[in-house]
Amino acid sequence: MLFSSLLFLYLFLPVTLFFYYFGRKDLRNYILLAASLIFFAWGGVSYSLIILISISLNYFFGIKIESSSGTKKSYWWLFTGVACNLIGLTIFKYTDFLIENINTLGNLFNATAIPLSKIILPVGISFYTFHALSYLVDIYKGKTKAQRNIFDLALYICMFSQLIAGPIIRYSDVWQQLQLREHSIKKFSSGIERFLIGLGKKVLLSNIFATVADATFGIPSESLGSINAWLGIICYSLQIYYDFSGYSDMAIGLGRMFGFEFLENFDLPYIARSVKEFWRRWHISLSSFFRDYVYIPLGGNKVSVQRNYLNLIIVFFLTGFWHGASWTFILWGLFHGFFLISERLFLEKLLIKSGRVIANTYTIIVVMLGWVLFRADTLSYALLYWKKLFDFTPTDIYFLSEQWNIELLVAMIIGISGALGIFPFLKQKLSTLKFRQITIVTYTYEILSIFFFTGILLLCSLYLVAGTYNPFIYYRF
Amino acid sequence: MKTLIKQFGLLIPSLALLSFPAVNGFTNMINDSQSIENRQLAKKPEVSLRHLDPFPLAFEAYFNDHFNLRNRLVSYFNSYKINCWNKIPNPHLVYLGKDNWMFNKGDDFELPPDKNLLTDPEKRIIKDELERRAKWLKERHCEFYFLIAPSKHTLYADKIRLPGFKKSKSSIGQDLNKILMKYSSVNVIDVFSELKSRRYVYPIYFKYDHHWTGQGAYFAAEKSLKTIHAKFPTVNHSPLETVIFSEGANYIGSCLRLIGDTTYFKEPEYNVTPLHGHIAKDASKKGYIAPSGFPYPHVFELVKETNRNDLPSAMIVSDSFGEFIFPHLADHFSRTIKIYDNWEYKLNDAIVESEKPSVFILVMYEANLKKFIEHLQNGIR
Repeated sequence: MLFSSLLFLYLFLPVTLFFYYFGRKDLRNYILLAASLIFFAWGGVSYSLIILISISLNYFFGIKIESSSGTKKSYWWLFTGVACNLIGLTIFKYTDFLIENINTLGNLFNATAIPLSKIILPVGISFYTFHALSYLVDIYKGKTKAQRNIFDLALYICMFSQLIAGPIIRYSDVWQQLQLREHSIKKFSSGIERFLIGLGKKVLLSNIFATVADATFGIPSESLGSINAWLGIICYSLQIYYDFSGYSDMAIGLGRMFGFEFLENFDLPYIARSVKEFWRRWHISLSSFFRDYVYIPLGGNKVSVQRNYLNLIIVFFLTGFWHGASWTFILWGLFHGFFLISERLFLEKLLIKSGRVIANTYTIIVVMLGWVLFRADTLSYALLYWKKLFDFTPTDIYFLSEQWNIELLVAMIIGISGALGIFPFLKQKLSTLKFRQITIVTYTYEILSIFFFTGILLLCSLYLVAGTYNPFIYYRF
Repeated sequence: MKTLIKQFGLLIPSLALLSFPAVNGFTNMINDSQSIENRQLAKKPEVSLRHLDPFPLAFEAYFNDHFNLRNRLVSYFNSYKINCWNKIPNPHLVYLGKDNWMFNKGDDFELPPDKNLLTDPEKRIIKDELERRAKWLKERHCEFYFLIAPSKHTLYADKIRLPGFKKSKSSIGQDLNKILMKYSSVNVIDVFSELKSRRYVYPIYFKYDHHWTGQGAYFAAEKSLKTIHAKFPTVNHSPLETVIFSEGANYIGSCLRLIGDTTYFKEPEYNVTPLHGHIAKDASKKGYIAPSGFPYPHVFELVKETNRNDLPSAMIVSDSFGEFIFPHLADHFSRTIKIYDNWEYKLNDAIVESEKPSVFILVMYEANLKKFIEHLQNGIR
């Protein structure tokens, strides 16, 4: 179930909110947990067992780690817990990738190919596995205590608001809120506002960019013109940003509706002036997870220079691999790692000297080239796509005119302005103006913003309803 | 006051909007418009503990298909898309051209008409097959005629903003007609120039549908009858002064069905009726069996008869374009049978043997010419 679906918006969310706020206060966590399990089961009922096993195992390991704290046993309990979680993730996410690679190697020696397992990826497994890992490691480090109430732990691991696209919540950040959190109309309202911002980003921007990106990446790269290729990758860069940050906004908004406060996951990544800065602004919860749970335990930058670079390569290999079981994702991670290391070696100094515009242009181009790897199905497609970006192949005017329209133009203007942080800047400037203090202006502003957000909900609903209209074309066949 | 507006201002309308479909479902404050979607909507799935896995998808499909006020909202969405963005809601299915002219994307629309011609071997496949049919029919004292119904984007290429369309000089059908007229003995009824010259004088094609209108079909029929008259002098035509042009009820065209619009775009049926009405009347069908899987079996066989036994009889094999031309042609034959054969354009030899027509007309939509070649290559003749 997606947040941007009619079923979620018009059935799941209202029903959950109704039972949450009109039910007994002491049952709120149980209601949220039940809703989360239904949400999870919606992606495959029989897969619910996996998350139930994961919750039970992590509950057990958490208590064991805590009870043996300070002894070597504690380390081994942590090791077993982490291994169990990673084995689960590997089985469900990476089995076919591993088989494919074994078969490729086997091909060289004429070995019989192993059939693919065709295991379906359970919803949110990458996210809830990391929630569980953070729980175990935080207990081991003594940052937090093991949760004795299995239902509260279950709610932390699988709460529906961040189950499908994050952000990755750390147990140490949220455990207190599981027991006690503030509910207020103000918080609820700000949650709705944030949710609608995310919904608008996803439905009104990302989906529009997606049509162009999908069409561009859907045709053979040798038939692409350079301008088509650039339009495709610009649209994909905007699509992935608004899709992902939109989901994070919705998750944060939903969290607020249920009294939680989650940390921000995006901070205008496309204004970054280096790849290093980009990773401080993009999917913050993931990059900080890898920093705290992989990079620093490996020694971080308190080791030799060579070892430090190896640590960075490991982190970016894992970052890529976490995003998907394919070599293109791994190479995407390593591509970023390469530029990060280059920045440490010499580029950062050059970028500082070169000024804001050049540094930002460099970062955006590197990131966009990286998105080609991320989006392409194969490495050869990505390489040809890169070539097309720079070889000035004549534009396919027919394809371009099919894609280009006023809606896309307006979406691009809004999208690029938003990604560059122009709207928050304007909002802040506007609030400092003197005339904003006049009562009538304040009221008008508030009322206009209500219309704006209600309009977003209405418009998104129209888009979602229209998306269900799916006629057949008889005469063609 | 300001705090109240800030806190409740968004809360109340949002919750009201989210709960409105459910509330309206119970109270029926606003009625939905009728669905024109040409598919069966999802049914409510039954909960069975043994088959829980498919339930979520099935339920979501049901929920989406039966969402309260769905048809009305789809219409509102269309209005928004077209008015604000001059963009069609289902751009992969329908192309929105100048002055809101709509074109079905499925109609071999990928390239400008003159860049999408048949190759020489493809033309030869069609030519050989049509000659084979003509010969076979001649042996049975029947004359074969071939009529290509032009694609809308061939006739109204100037309504298409895509590069190459406006300047397009020829089309797949025009090019084939030219070859057939020059190098084969097949009787070709070439309606392209006839229709092109009248395209802005009369509404010969629907704006929101891919078919010709009754008026377009009338001009195509006139051209057909004049061509047939050369070999069958008793077959006359109905000149302009003997017919009445009129507008009928609201016509929901194929493009509107594809985008789901029932309220925003409207156009009437454009009819042509003889001054004293059609002579040919519906006659009883012989009950020829429609091909399996054909979605419109009730119109597979249509028959009309006049009481003019001095006139020849005719058999028309066609696609949906035949619906419109059928009444105009039928007035000029003693008995006319029309076969809508699942877009396969076969000779239907068994029906020919049974009906023994004097005239056989194959009416083929221009956009289906390539499909016709595929059929021939697959042995469907």
